[in-house]
Amino acid sequence: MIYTEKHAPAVQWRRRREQARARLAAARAALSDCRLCPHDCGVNRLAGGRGLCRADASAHVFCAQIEVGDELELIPTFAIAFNGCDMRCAFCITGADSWNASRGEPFDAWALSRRAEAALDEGARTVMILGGEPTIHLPSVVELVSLLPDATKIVWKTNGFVSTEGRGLAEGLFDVWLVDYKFGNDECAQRLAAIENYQRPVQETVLWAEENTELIVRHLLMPGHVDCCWDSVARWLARHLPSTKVSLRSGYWPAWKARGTSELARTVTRAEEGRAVDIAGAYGLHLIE
Amino acid sequence: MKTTVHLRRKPRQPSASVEDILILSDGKIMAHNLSPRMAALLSELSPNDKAMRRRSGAKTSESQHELRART
Repeated sequence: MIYTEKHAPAVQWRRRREQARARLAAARAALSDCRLCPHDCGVNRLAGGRGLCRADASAHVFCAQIEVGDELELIPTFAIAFNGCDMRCAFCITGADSWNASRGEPFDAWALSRRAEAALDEGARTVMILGGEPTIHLPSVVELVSLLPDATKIVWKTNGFVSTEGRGLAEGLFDVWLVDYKFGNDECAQRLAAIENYQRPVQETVLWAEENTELIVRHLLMPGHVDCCWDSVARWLARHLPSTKVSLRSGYWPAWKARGTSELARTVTRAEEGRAVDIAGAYGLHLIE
Repeated sequence: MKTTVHLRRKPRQPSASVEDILILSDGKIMAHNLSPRMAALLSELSPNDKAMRRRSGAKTSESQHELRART
């Protein structure tokens, strides 16, 4: 097998734990003036301050288990879900946990790394770190990565709403960036996730991830948003990253606040699903299952 | 009549497994946080669901792992 510099796992693995250990102090210090995401709050989380994500310096985990619902090339995965998020998606299926950074079990890097190792021994192919949004807990994640076995294939599942500083702290630590590109325009992002200026940072993250690691872009189809969101995302991907793996997910259901929102109170129809696949085909996207 | 069934398995211990299953009136099954064991069960219930069959084929000795996690 020929390894390129970009995807050189054997080299990267040897250095990853070392990199993570060397980055721990800087990651922790970043919380004193938190700008890990584009909200750019600048609060001192080490002193108990909380920005828009409402997370202080502590991290909590609401789920850590083997799962097979993600992309086929990543499963079975040992999925570790952190509480707290920098977005407020009305349809969040884990809203109660994702919106509340203080719920869940207190983060224990050593215990989680041991459980991850056990899962890998028993057949898990990857370890997936997700949320909520894990970016807001990068210091804890860096600590976890510093304890994982060198050969672990680590997947970073993110909403892409990550700052330059956040990407810098994450660089070199993960094998796959699974970026959930949710909205095709700023208006839908503002209305459904309370996010201003969504597009630019997410597109920057996607382009950065393509350049620096292995990338999978995921898009969850939402009812009534095939044209405004999926078509727009697909068109952008076709233009900028035509060979990137794209995972089009149709399993939306009205959860959390979406139950009371007429715009989102139904599942995606088969017609919408079919049209979305047609759009992907028309743009020549590389869909994966 | 349009009906859906939403099942949630969430034990008190957050470290144990969490999963959500939604069964629509047309028989379509959707899942979140799908465990290997549930994938195998759903695949048996719906043998024509190719996607579920592929996921149920992604095997681990999950049952042992879950027991370990709970103790």
